[in-house]
Amino acid sequence: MTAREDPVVSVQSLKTYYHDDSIVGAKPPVRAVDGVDLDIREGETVGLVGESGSGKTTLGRTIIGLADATDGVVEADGQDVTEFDAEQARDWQRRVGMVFQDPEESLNDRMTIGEIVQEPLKAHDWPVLTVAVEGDATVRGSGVRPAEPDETVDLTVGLDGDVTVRDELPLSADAVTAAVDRSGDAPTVDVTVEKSRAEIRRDRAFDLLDRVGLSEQHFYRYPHQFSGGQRQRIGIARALALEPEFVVLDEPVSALDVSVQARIINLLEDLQDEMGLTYLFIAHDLSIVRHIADRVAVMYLGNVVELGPTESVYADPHHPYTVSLLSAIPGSGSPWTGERITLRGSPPNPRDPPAGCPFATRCPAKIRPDDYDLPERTWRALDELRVVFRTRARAEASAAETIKRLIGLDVAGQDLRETVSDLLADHDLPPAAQSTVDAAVELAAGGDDDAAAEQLREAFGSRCDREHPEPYDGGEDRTSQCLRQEAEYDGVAETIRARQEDEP
Amino acid sequence: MAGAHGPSSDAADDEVTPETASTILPTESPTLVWVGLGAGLLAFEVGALATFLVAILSDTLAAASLPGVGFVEGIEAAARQLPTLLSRETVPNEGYWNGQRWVGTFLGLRPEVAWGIRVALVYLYALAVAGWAVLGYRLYRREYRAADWTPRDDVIDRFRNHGWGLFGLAVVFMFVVMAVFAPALGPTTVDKNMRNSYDNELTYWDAETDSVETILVGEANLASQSRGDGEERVGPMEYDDFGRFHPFGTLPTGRDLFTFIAVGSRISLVIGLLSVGLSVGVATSLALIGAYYKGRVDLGMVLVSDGVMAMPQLLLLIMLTTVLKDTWVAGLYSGAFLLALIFAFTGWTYMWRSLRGPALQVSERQWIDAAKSFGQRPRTIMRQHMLPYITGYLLIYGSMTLGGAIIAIAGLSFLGLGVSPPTPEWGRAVNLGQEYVDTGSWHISLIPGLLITLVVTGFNALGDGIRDAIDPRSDAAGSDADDGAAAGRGGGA
Amino acid sequence: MSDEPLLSVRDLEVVFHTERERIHAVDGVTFEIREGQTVGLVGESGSGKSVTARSILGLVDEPGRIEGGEILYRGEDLTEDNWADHRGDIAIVFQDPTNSLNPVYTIGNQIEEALRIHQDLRGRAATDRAIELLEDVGIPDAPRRVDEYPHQLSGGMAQRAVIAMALACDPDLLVCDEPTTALDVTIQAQILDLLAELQAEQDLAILFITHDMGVIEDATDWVNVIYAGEVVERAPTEALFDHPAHPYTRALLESIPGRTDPDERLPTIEGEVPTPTGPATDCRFAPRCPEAFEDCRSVAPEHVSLDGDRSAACLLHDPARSDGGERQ
Repeated sequence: MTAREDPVVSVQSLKTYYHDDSIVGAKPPVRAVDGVDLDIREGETVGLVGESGSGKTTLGRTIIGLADATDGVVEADGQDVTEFDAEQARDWQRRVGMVFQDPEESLNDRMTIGEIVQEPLKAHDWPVLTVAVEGDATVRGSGVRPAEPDETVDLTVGLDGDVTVRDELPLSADAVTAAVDRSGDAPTVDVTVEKSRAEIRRDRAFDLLDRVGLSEQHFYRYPHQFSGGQRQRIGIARALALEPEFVVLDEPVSALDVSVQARIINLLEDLQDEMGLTYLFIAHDLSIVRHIADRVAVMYLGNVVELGPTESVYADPHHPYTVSLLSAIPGSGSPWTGERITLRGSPPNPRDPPAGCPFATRCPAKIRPDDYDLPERTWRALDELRVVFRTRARAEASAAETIKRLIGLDVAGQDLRETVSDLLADHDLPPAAQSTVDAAVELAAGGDDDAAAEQLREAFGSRCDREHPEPYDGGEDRTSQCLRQEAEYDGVAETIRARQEDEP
Repeated sequence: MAGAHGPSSDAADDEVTPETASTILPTESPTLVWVGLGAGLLAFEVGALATFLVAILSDTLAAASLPGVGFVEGIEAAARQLPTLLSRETVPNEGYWNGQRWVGTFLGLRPEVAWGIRVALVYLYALAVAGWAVLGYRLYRREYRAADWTPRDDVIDRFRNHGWGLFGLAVVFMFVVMAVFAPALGPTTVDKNMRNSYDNELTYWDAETDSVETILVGEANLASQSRGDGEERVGPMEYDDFGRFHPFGTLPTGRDLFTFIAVGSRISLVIGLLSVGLSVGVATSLALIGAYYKGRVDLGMVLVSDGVMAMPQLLLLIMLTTVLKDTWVAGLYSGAFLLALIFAFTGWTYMWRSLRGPALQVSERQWIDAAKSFGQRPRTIMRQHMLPYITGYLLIYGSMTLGGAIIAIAGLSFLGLGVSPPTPEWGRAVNLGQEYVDTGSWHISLIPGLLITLVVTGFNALGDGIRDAIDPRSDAAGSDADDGAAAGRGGGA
Repeated sequence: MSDEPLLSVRDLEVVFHTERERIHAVDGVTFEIREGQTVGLVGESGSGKSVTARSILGLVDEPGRIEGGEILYRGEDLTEDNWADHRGDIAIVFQDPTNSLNPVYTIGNQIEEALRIHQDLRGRAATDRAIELLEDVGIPDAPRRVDEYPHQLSGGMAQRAVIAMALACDPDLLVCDEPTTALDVTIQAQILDLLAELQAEQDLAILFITHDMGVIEDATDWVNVIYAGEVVERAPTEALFDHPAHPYTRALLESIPGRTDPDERLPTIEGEVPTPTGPATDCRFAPRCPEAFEDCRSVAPEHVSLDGDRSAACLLHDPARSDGGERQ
């Protein structure tokens, strides 16, 4: 599994936003992918990990052309996939494959396995056999065309009428006859294929089923007669039908049992070796990615926050999110030694990502401002308070609450003071900090949650809250988006460990 | 391992019980024999068929007021000369008692027997044609089709085991045959008994004078009315005073109810099927397109359909029938075609609304994405990956709407719209008999009412059968322990 | 901890009746939970672990039926339709939080309903208690969240709310049926922490059902490995991970990626979990077992006691049938 420096797909500052389709009252778009750079090199497996909502699936779909990019470039063979029209997109989709997460859902259960596996072939009228002639000649015949330069050649015809068929095709040389006519200026080759396209397709389907570990008898069955693992094999056979060079695997084993998982992963690795495939392996399970991927990209809130060779990233993660993810692997599978890091809260709403670092709201290694000298747990309480204000500002007020506020029945204010006093109960704030907090609470009680959050950010925010970090080159083919990579700061892991020690 | 279960009704079965050509047709050239059989069957009806085809041609020409009408009428006359073996002329049931025996009936049999023979022959013939078609399909499957098994075989096998669906098929078959052979089935004809009853005479045995008399059909009808009890009715399977046999009794006008129903089945079925078919077609296409593209396309459809729904259907009907009265569209099939169009135009919205939900649901399934991922074309995705999943709903709503359409047409004729009397039509028979439901003349409303129910049930059952047949999961025979495994996993992860 | 187990399941048999066959989804499952203990039930799909969980709550639906064995809660057999008496003592948390919450009621409403039924709390008192419960399960800004609808909560928050609901009846035993499977790893870590915290505070006993060996390793004291309706191995968690005794447990642990060298192929278990359609006459794992010998196909293995209270249902450990236990 040696990765060459030649990207099959190169993703550059890609943004994919989902807009609501409603005519009135459009909400801000969901920023599913928000500026991603990623090269996928020939023959490698890139693992794309992240939590649900991180945009990993959308990134995969945008590359395949299933989702429309808002901005940026997906470059393949010097062309921008995001600019393709319908026909070009079809042509691109012919050269890529995709395996989906849920084997119960991804196969149409009204179709037989044979029909399912053959469907991509039929959709592209496969095969139109490419013919190369030794020497200069015109090629004629139905179902064949002359091969373009740099194209895979299906049939090679000698000027003596000898025919060689590419090994992968379910076609024997006996079934092809080539008549060479030398009467004109240039010789003309008439190619006749005795086998009908439907038959070639069927045999191709048999081949594919065999490759993924199923047999010919399964051809006539329906998906509901198969177990989850077998159905996923069928999905893989379908994705490989058109001999793609690049396959997006969207959580292909997440819905399967451990023992079945292992077999599918082995199958995917075998197929990669045999067919020289390039994989983008999307997963939320870090152990699987560690096993299968050559390089790993960690996504958070539409950003690739860390990218690098798998072993190196797992051994020495640079981004605090990667550290947290690795430490959250349950059981002894986690490469993180020491106490598990439990992130607080959930990822922010991708409609409304934080202005600075996307991970700042949950970061265990967040840079703290020098203005105050507070213990880490107090910082966290303040962060949490800000999240509370932000959540309140974004929440739709119910009709009852709106009326209560209008007529001055300040129930929310009451609740709010309770929450604040609960949160900050056993923290000692310096007077300056305390007065800032009090002012913010008053603002929020008056209904302006946004201003309250803003006030806290101004007072207690750090660089992490203001600056969206650029990718830092971490050497060894690694990048990460964290301000702690700058020389002036302590490293991520040591900061986290130090803070863990401070905690009771 | 599910894969280890015995093969479902797949290719293996065909191989285990080889149906060689000799078991289908015991001959060396089965195709030739099959074609010969077809030709033989055709010969029975060549006259009717020719007349029918020419009639369509002349109708179209007349409607479009093109030249050449006269010429076509000539052909029509010629076509009438062609013999039709299963016609009322060959097996007549209209005759009279001359004091000793029946005159003019088939082999001198009593009219009811003669009529019964004709009806039986017609149905036998229809069965023979159906059998011939099945034979042809099996022959094709055996001899000409390249694949020895296709998924469609499974569909047919599943349908064959679906009792309710088969019942539906039988009912629908009976009604279609009734509609197709309507002129040959009635004891009398619309022309003679209804449309031109005062231009036709009838010979009968007058019991009072003990002699054979002649009377105008119209006058005979007046004396055979069903408007109450006892003497005032001619019930089902009874003779009237003029020796005419009425299998379903007579109408309040004294006309023959069976003839009315048989011929009416044509109009009712044509309007019903055409309007339901059209609205199903429109609704399905729109539901699929809307669900596939979603967003604004779907929203646009909602607006359009709401607009159409907001139009009062009845007013629209009155308006359109009046406006289009003298155009060629209104002339097609006594206005039935126009009615079907209007029904379809106002009806698709409701059907679309019902199909939209299921279509949107299926459009969210992952296999749609999978098909998009390898560049399948939208049209194929809609047809292959979405349509089968809404077919079930479509068949149910379609068959239910069918009954509604037939009844609605009846309501319209009541208002003087729609199909104008005396062209027979089921709903009108129900209407005509309403006053007499609690009297001895109950048959007038009840029989056509029951038939409407039966037809709707039949189409419903057929729809159910087809829906189950196209769903491989309903295949009880083929799934062995798979269902069991699923049940066992019911609580599992 | 008293000697009397809080819950004791003995020879539980749950059979699903389908048109064609009887499926023994749970076939003689035996295990115990003591007060304050976390016991794991781990197995693949179709192994019968969820059916076991549902039986304890009396939630087995048609066509399933409990056909044998007993479920003793503090010595009282629940299978004699005693569930109603212990509704408040045993609570369950399901896999998918969004399915366990009714979308048309606020979180508060749903917790208050549980409080009304089990603790007879109403009105302001119930609301206050609901807010307390939400704070207990770590939902920030609980006074506001209590009035929110399930769709306004993230998956992790929703699962916390479900746990709060389960705690509303102040149970002694919490049955967690794959409580973290639908959640992301970082959220899973939060929920595991929360459960551990709650257990320490409230002396809860937890039955933890999952397919994830990693979660079992982190969260439980004792493990029961279940395969095709039967418990094949039970052991203290640490001992099980150190020395798995049953070949199935061993294979399961080996096939988890990340524990082996990435350059090597993952060890796999061939075949699939069988569906038990009759009483066991052989070892159900034998067809897939790399160490199966002749007797495995003709004898249904009994549990053999091994050192430290643990046991395994495998003939390899039966001294009479093999050279016994050499693998420990």
